[in-house]
Amino acid sequence: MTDQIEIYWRVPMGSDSSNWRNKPKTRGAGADAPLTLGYIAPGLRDGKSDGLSYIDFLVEEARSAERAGFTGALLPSFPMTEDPFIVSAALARATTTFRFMVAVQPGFLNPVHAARISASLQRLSGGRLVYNVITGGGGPQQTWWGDTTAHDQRYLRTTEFLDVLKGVWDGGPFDYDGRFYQVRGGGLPAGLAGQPRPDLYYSGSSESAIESAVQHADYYLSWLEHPDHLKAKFEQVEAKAATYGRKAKFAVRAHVIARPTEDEAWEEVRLGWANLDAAKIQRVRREGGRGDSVGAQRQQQYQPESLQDWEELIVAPNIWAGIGYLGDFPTVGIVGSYEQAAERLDDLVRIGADAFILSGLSHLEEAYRVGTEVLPRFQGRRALDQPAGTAKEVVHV
Amino acid sequence: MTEFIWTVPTRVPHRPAFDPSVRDDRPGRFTAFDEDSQVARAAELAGFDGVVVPYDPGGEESWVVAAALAPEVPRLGIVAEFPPDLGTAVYAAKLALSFQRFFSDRLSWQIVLDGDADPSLADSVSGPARDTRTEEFLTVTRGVFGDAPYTFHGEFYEVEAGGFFDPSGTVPGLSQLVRARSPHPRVLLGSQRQEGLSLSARFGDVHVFDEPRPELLRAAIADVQARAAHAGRIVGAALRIAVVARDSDAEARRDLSRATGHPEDGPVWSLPAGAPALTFDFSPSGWRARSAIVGSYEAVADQLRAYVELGIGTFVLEGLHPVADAYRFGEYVRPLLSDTFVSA
Repeated sequence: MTDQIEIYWRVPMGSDSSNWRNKPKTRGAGADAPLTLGYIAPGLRDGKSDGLSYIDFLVEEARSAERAGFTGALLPSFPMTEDPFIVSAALARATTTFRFMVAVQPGFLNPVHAARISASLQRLSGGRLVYNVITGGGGPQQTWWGDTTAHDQRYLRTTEFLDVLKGVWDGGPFDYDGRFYQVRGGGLPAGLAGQPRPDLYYSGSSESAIESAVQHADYYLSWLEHPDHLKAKFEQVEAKAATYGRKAKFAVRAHVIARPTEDEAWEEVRLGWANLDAAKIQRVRREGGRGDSVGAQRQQQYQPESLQDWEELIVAPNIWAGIGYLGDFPTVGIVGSYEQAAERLDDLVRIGADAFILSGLSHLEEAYRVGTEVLPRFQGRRALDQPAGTAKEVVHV
Repeated sequence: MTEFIWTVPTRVPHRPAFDPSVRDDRPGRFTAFDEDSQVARAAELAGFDGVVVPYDPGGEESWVVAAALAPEVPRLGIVAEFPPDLGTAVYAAKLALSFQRFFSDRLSWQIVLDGDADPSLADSVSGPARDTRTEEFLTVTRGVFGDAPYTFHGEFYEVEAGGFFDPSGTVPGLSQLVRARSPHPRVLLGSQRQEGLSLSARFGDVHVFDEPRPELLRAAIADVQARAAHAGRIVGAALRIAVVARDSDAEARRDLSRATGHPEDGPVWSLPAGAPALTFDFSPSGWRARSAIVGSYEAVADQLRAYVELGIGTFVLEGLHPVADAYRFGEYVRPLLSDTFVSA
């Protein structure tokens, strides 16, 4: 953990879209019609599969994020997407500085084996593993995974999982008597011990999530919300952290639709919206608040009772709650010119952000765009000394 | 067709430092993965069919090694060995699914059957419950690789409306499941216990034997295959054994004796019952096999052929040096077998 602001990208783990315009997803085995002409990884060659798989494309996504200046990328985990540990191991030797922010789901791995897997990944990658601890959104997804533990109990399990993982990591022999885990004499073997422990990003908006997060997180991670709501949430976390004698750092996860002018950015939204049908709008609205996720419910507050047009979803200047309708989540994102996108990131620094996880469709091309056009205009911690609305001048080197 | 699998050790051998007055750029630059990569590449170049990455509590984690090696050896099958308390059955199946999709269905599993509760690994399941857990584990992993929705309520695992594939496209809420099916990893199980043989018969694809004595091996193979037939299944037979093959019998025996400190009289040498597994300076993971075929290339080839005639279809091999002995096997032993059962 450094004092510098860290900016991660996100890599989609099942398939990718070529743009924001609600066209069929054309990249990856999870695409809408794989093995059709025009689809990538796997593609067609002489009428048959070209033998490439999504991992071949993920290598390129990681390399583009790395070249565009991102610290690394979030590798999420959903039932229908690829596993982030396998992806990290497969990509480690193909990348140089790229950090793998792996979505770790406590309860799915034995914490001691999770420590072993992590230590081996640290050795494989030269210390490039980062955790995004997610405790799960509940509902049918959770039982699909084989997890029937109730919401607050899941957070207790996460706390215990991290207690054990850290205890084993920091040197044995480690003993632990928890509700979910019991350990006697745990530790890592000599060959695996002594690696830097991965930075830990912790997501979760409920009371029990925040209680668990402030004990273990290096960064408390939230989806983007209205800046006032986010500020209040960060203050709540900060106060809770203080009761444990800890100081919280904050990370914000958001999509960015940035173009040379604001109008061009909204034009992307218009084009995507034009390809929506009523059924898809209904499906997105229905899926938004499912399960027992408080974070998802908070995102739902920006959805009007009846939705007629995309403009109703503008919740603050350049803050738009309609990303879900263009095919991705979280649904609150940044839309604007390159300067405006940078200014909104500056604003988030002013309310306490220390790190970002950004993304855009397609993740490969947009990594270059955001890294080249938005991030050089972002003031970083210098925003704290500057009035709002003053973007940095870009110096081309 | 007989299958040859080579073993990738997951610990780095100690490489002594040079005198400080001599330039040495290695420190901090290389890890076990660079060594493992070279072992796996050796196996591929030498014509092996696959590699096994053993579960070694003192070594690198086997899934990480397997996934890191897979893109570097596109022609090889990869066997990842792991204990059943790694995580939930669904999560293990999910790890396997990504592996299958990324690396053209080349994954096999070897699940550790023997052993007991280990509180240092947060594993408190002991006795017969361990076999029950493994049985449930494989039931669930095979279940979620079948048609969705899959539901299971067991003592150790629960799944509600799970599963990866919905070929008919009719499962509500699982529309995204529709996609090309990937095969469940081939399952290797090895245990000489009756319960282990029974698990292999019902859930395994290949049973891995450590028994080098021909008559006992023949009987054990017949036992597993009879149990499998009873369950309406077919289970293959593998032999895990080391090979020390040299230009002459004398040279092979000398090398084995020097490395192990044990005298030997070939052609098949075995550790005394109860003796700890062997470890070597140049291969600190040591041997997982309890026996070695020792001798000239011709003698080793003859012995392998004899095992094939007993019913062995897969050899899980290791040598004294994981790189040098892989090449040696490919150059001098494998050619002697091509007439009968190895693909040319």
